[in-house]
Amino acid sequence: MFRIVFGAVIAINWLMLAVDWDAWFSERGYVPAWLGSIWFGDYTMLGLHTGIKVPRIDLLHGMTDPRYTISFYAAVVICCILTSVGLGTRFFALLAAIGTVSLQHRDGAILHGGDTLVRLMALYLAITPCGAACSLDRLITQWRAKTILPPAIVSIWGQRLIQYNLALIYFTTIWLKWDGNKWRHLTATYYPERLAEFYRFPYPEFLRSLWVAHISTFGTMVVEFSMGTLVFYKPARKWVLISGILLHGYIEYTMNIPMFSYAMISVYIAFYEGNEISGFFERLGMHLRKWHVVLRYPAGMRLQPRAVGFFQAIDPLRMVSYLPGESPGWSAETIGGRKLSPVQAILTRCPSTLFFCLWPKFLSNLFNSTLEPLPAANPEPTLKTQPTAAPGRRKG
Amino acid sequence: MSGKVKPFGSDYLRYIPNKYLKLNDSAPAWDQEYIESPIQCYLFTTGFWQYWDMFAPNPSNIDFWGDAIVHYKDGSQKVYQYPRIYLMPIYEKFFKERYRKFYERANDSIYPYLFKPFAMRVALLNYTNHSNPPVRVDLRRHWLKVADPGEPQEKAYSAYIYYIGFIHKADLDAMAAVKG
Repeated sequence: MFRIVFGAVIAINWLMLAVDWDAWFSERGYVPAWLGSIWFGDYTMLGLHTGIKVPRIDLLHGMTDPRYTISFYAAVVICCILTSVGLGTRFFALLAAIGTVSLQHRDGAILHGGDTLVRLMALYLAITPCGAACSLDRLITQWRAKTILPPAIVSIWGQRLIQYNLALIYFTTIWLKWDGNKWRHLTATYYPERLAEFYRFPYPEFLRSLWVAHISTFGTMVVEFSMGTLVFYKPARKWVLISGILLHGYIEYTMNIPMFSYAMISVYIAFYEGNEISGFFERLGMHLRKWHVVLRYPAGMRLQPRAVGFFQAIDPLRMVSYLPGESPGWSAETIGGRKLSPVQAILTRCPSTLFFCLWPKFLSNLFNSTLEPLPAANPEPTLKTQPTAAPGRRKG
Repeated sequence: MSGKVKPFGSDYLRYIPNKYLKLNDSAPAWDQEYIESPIQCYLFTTGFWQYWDMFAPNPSNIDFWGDAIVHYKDGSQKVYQYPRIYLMPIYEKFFKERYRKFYERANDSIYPYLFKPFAMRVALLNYTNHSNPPVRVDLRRHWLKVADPGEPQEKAYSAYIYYIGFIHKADLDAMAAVKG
């Protein structure tokens, strides 16, 4: 889940730069290649200069040909999108990370905190098994398997690393703020909201008053401290994260710092484990039971085991049940008895199939390839999908 | 823009706390700053470096924006308004915030290596007549201090020319020849 959301955040973050590519990444721009190519001096060991330049990942180093830089940029965006949908995840996540680091090293003069977060999370996605769940890779693996695959059990270390890094961000920030007299005097937020270059949406005048500044300054410090500490205490986690969302929502509305709040909030997903997230979607699906549908497959047929696993995987909300039908073809109806096409039923209930909107015939063909003749000795096969029990930890 | 790489530096590693960097005061040029720790070397190489100081230790209380005075060969002048977030419609602000971030550094005397390319870009954007090219660009900062609570707020921005860049037509033509 984190991979889906943050992969999209990285892609959007880069796509937003496309409108000013000439200004930021070309030789005609504000930061030509020679400026981005300068780096530190020697690496020094025990006080002695080794004469060795500190290397860095920058595949655009000294590159001035716009055909190369633009192609590189486009490739990075595509890799981010493929990472987000989870196709060839290990490979493309690695390429997306290298590309993101390279682009940021090429032009560091325009980076803000959101960019730093994007770069770090791109690296974390590359080193974690983030394609093990909620991915096209997982669907393909399930499709190729002969049985229902159990939930993927993966190392939790990568996810913990992401959590610790986010907590570190908040803790470092509050640590530094403690040195600021404006924070200690509870007037800090009074100033940024008067900087015209940060103005965004209009808001009531009373929000600019001093007493509101006192409250918001104190609230900011409490939330940031909590995000660095209390967020690891499970009973408090939900409330700490909600307060973080409110903080960033306020920043997003009042201040023009694009993508920063979205990026920060996206990382909050990493504080939940895979089974918690799948449980959340199942509970959400229960609230939407009015829109549940029953899909009936042709008489005399049954779903292959791999198909049961496949349909479970594309239906995190558990809104579709599969039952034997009496007609020779597929049919679908809502709980209320309203008929609808099977393809429409799947596309509108299973968010992960939205990609197939462009290719609905694929879904039709898929339906037919999920069936096998019903053996005479087994007249009552397992036909209804069941919510996935997840005894182990799964990646979200 | 002659093609020779001068010992200017990129600014972004300035983020790293000074206590983690071995700075050589006698040689302040960026590429004379040295890394001592293997951990720093690893972080910078791989891209894992990070530094977080969101509005810390104190938020800025200076509102600033920039423009440039472009001097042409025939003696005429023009004021070029560098993209200013405050003047943009809301949807445009979302996409153009990088201009504010860049200017935050490109008007600061601790990043002098950004001034010359900045002036060249402004000259290029105002190079519309080949017989009358820009010959000089003055980068100007406008700023206003946000008054403390309870104190009267100034309305007028102060202005200061912080860099004068002389432009060679050959450099400008070379830039213009690059396909964007």
